[in-house]
Amino acid sequence: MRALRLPSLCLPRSEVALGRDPSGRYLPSIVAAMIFLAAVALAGALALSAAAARWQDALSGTMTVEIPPAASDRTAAALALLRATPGIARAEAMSRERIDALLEPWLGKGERLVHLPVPTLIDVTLTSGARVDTAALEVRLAGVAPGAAVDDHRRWLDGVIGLARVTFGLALAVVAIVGVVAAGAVIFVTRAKLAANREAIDLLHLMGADDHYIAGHFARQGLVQGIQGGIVGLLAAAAALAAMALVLRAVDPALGARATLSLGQAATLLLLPPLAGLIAMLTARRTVLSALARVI
Amino acid sequence: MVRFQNVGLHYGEGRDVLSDITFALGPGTFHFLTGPSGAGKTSLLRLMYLAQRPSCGKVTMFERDIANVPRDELPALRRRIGVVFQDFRLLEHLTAFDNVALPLRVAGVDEARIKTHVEELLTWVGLGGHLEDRPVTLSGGQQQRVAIARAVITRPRLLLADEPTGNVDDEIAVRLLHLFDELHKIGTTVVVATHNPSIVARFAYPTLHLEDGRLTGDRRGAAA
Ligand SMILES: Nc1ncnc2c1ncn2[C@@H]1O[C@H](COP(=O)(O)OP(=O)(O)OP(=O)(O)O)[C@@H](O)[C@H]1O
Ligand SMILES: [Mg+2]
Repeated sequence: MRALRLPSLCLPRSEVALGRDPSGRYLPSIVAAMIFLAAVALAGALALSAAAARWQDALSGTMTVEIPPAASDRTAAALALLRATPGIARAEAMSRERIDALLEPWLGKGERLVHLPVPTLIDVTLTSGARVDTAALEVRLAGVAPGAAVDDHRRWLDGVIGLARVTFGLALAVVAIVGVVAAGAVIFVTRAKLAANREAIDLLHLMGADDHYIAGHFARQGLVQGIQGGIVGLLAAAAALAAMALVLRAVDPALGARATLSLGQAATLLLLPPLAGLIAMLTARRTVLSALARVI
Repeated sequence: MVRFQNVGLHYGEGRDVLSDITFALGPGTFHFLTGPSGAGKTSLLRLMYLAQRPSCGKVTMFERDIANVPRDELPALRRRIGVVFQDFRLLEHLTAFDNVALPLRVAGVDEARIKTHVEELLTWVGLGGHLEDRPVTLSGGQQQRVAIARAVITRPRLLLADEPTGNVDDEIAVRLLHLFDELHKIGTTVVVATHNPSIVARFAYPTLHLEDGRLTGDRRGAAA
């Protein structure tokens, strides 16, 4: 019976194609799994650092001044002082409705709120590029409204930026580990293929094929299988990330809208499959050359 | 072309398979290599097709002492040698056409020339209708002819054939030997290891006779 011969899409010159390939499916699937992990880790890190950058942009020109309930009759004086401070473009007390809305998630809605003493909050906008010494401002404000506190969101932002940095470092570590594991898989698979195709390789040697000729076939196969696996892994990661974005949007539309990748960041992820192909190609080549160097 | 001086061979820790082999083959000569099974015919050919380095003694091929040829220069020497292996060594996953094309592809010949040459030669050995067949679908004798076509497709300067007529009837055996003879006439050096006395008798060429790993002299045209 004639064996079914599938058209070889990836290796048109299959004459030396190393016949049956016990591990031909194994390599693309392990690369796919690795690229999935790398892509999810990278996408998460990129989205977080993008969000941190946007938060920093949005918040760096603003401050919030909090005047305790006991000093709420000093609000006008505090506003006057703020408006007279160089670098401050605008200072506006928040309406009671806005404050109630901010507190609602914690305290609930209802009559009781009306009687609850709440601090007065003042939104401060800086003239663009201006820096205001928060500590000095706080001291001066305490003079007109005892207990007034200035929050320039720095502590919170520093926390978010730090988190973004750590996450990014972790993602890079994941990518590096994934690269090493994938290269290990390529070495393992290539050795298995060498063993399975020993006769063919001996024969090629006796016909005068040099090591580079033989290694070239393995390298091409590695390149193709690495890219195939990379594309599958990336598609799976894209699906997983899209699902996550949907869930996030349902939970909090504002957060969902922030957690998106820019075109440049998406392009970074598109580099993963060719990178996987390159690693597979170079590793396969090296493995074959070093194995062949031991035969006559 | 080929010169052996006091060559000995043993595999690993084993006993000597060849001992004290000395002979020379001039360019364009034709020799039979005879001897009982296990005498070392295949082992001697392996040394000639550079699958093996000798355990002792000196092997000179194409005027080069094999002991001094660096590894990366062996492929160029091997490309001048065509081999018909005793067990054919056809690649199962390739068609007859692709098996025969293999040495040409290794040598980087372009596909158009490969197509004409391979089809012509396979037709000549009577396999014109089997170009796309895999080895498993061919009979032993047909596989042998594919193996022979693969060995001669590059017009090698040295042709080594190990029992090339073991699986075919005498008529085809003679036809194949005529093919070797044609190559010999255009200058190829030929060595044919065989058990077949009628073939040796039919072609009046010198014989290297091996007994238990030793050469027992050239017997010119003698029927074994
Ligand atoms: N790879 C090997 N490893 C160890 N011993 C071997 C190997 N190949 C052959 N031998 C031994 O070398 C001896 C000669 O074998 P060889 O194959 O050269 O004989 P031959 O003359 O070709 O025999 P035949 O006519 O049966 O093909 C035998 O005793 C065999 O067992
Ligand atoms: Mg033999």
